Amino acid sequence: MDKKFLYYILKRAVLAVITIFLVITITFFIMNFIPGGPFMSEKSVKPETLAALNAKFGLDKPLHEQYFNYLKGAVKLDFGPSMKMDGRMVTDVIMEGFATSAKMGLIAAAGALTLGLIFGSLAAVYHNKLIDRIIMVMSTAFVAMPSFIVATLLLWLLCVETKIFPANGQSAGGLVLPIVSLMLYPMAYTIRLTRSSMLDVLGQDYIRTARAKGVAPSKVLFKHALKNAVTPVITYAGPMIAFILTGSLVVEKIFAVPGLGKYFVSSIINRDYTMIMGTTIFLAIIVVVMMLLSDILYKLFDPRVDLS
Amino acid sequence: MKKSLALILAIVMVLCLGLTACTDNGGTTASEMTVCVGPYPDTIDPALNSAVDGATYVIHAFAGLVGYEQAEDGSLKLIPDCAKAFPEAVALEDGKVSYTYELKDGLKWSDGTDLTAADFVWAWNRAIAPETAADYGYMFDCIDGYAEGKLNVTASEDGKSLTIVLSNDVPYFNELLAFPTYMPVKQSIVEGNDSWAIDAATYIGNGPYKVTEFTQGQMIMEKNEYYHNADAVKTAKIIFPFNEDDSSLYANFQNGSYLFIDSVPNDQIDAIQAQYPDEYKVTGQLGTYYVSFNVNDEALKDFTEVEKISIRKALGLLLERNYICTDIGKAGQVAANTFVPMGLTDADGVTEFRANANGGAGYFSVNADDYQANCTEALALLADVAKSSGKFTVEGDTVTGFPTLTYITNEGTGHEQIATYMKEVYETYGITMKIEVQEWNTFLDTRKAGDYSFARNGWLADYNDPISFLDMWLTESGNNDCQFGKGDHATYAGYSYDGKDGLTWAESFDVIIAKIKASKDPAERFELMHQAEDILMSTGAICPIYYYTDQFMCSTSIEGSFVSPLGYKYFMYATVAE
Repeated sequence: MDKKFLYYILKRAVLAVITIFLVITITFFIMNFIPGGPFMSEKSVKPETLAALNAKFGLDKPLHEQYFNYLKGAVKLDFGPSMKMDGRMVTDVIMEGFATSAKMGLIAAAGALTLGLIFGSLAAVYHNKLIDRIIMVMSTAFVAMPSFIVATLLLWLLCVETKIFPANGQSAGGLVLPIVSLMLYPMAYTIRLTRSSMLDVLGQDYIRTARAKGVAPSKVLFKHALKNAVTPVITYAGPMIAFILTGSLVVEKIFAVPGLGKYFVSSIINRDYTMIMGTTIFLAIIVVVMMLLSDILYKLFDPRVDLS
Repeated sequence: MKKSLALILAIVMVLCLGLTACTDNGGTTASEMTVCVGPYPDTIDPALNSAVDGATYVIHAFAGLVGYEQAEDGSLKLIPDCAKAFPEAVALEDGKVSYTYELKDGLKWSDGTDLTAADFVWAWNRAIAPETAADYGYMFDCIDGYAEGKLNVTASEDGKSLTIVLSNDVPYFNELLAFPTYMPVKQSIVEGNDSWAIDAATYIGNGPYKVTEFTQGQMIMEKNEYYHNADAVKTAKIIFPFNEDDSSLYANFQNGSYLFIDSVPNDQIDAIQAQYPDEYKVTGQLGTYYVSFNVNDEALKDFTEVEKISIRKALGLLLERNYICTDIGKAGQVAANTFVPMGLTDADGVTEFRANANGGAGYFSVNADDYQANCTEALALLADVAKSSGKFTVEGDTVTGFPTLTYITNEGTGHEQIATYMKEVYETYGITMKIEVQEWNTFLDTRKAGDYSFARNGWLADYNDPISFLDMWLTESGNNDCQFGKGDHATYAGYSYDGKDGLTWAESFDVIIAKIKASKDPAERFELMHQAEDILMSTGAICPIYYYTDQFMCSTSIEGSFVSPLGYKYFMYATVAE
């Protein structure tokens, strides 16, 4: 690692902090300007109760004061108590949900990337042959089909009709189908990225040279070609992994998985202010970190990339 | 290459693990049952809970002075639970009433420690304390001392009896005692610990079951050996998975994972009824689905109050409620012609309150044969308004120049379908209605602020007494979505009460409600409640559509479970066939 590289990482870290600060500020104020509040319900609560709740969560203070108090907590990664889920700390809820979502997401992302790279390379090698056609048809289908269709289909076919898998993430084996549902889209996308950049690389002179020198075909493919073809996949993988790790509302709902995904939506519907902030900041941190990682990987795979 | 291969192998292994693991996840045995009553609950603290699913968890983990039991004929009856018997009321000098409940011997918390009458005193005062901020704190408002923040409830020295003083006798008091908010909680655990109810270790109750696991995925309850009636509890373990997606619930019911689900996909009701005639159940629920009009609506500000009343009544009469129930609701809903719903009883405790509404006829006919007559009446009302106001015209079946009204509703297939139906009906007469679908919280906010013309609305009872459908319309009530007695309506003096005409909302409706609350004579009380409903319905601002029903699916292998009219599910005495 040279100095330039370290300087680059430092610069990116500072930028990341600024980004997250902006995310906190923008979310905080937008959130406070949408109508409704966390303590609204069909049966309205008594004014005294409402006042007590507002006091309990500091919502009776002026907005700028609430904002600074929040920032103080956020620096220590203390997002405060949830306003809707009585007695729960936002950080605990996020961590508990994330444990499940991340477990599923890691497997799904790893599966999507490995299978995507393998099938993408195969499709490129057998360009315009039957294998290529089959792979392309499948990947087009999976890219085009929204996850709720895929998930519902899997649910109906494998849980209801054949009863091979349980239909909820609470049972053992119940995470298999949600993982598959999460995996299909990024896998198909990776296949397409890999295939096109692989086709590009395979046509280049140095590949012909390697082949002419008698290098084994598999070595040509995986060592010489793939290493250069992988850069667009890395660009894509950063944000993809961030989003897949933090869970998917649709997949979690359909397969009753107690993950983090649903909180991104339910917190907003419930106006659970602290939870909205917590989930948003958490997602922002993960996205920023994954982007940084993918940039670093970029550099490792392709030394020509100039990071400054 | 090797690394990718290892990864693939790892994935294959994980998949195989999943497969083998799920094969031994067979059907539920008699020692446990898996039933789903809702999503991850906001709270299961008895004082703070105000949700139906939360109440179901609470009644399994706690026991109040009074409980429910299913009689031979399937009806529910109140039984003493922690109490030995139902005491007689003792009239006090100042018109107050006191009840003394003797507790059963040897009552214990699920951690084995003793439970005394003092625990009830502490729990109830906690529930009404402002710092607890409990939604349902007002459930204690019939107890003397509520207004001062210190309930007139005392435990005897030996902790074996509890004396409760009510400011005036309420006929439904025993029912209140079975309500989750009235459950005792253990002071030493709850005091100063906001998180006691989220951790199985500190969630100590006194009910038939105790919570042994509580995660975001599920709650597991196991039989509480310290429960005073533990012999009646047959199933050792109940698993409550959290799930809120209708399709997912149904899939889990179909493949046998869940033996009970509390809602079904609305668009599949026909198929479900055909396929699961014994499992799909519909029971009555104490609630009314209705349309509320804003009495201070800007869109109608050019009309007089009397004209506005006719317009609102006409718009209500044009709707065919039977169509809404059978073709849109599809879950056994009953067409409504009163605001106080089906299931609430009158003074005698047997006759339905609505059977005596408006002298027995209801406020209009919902008989399918009378629909044409209703429409004719509606057009006549509109024609009168057209004549007196000159703002629009009515010729035959056609209304021309009527102001465009906007209907607001929250998201939801059923709500939106009803809105579309209304729009179509009004359009056939030349009346334009705009539909605005709002996200839930925004919707509540708009409705409460009175920033709308007319809106979807619904109300569910907390106990079997019509008052909760009436006191919500007090001028200062937080649920007065119609804005009665507010803004311009505050000065409108068109109501009659007690032989006097020309009274404002505050002088008529608010006065009756105050009188009902102070009344000590049940017959008079119910008579006043009928009068209050008469005034309410005379405004035309409440347009009842149907009485709610509760639909669920319950496996035929479960026996002995039952549902209360408030929608709470009782599994504590249920058994599951192997």
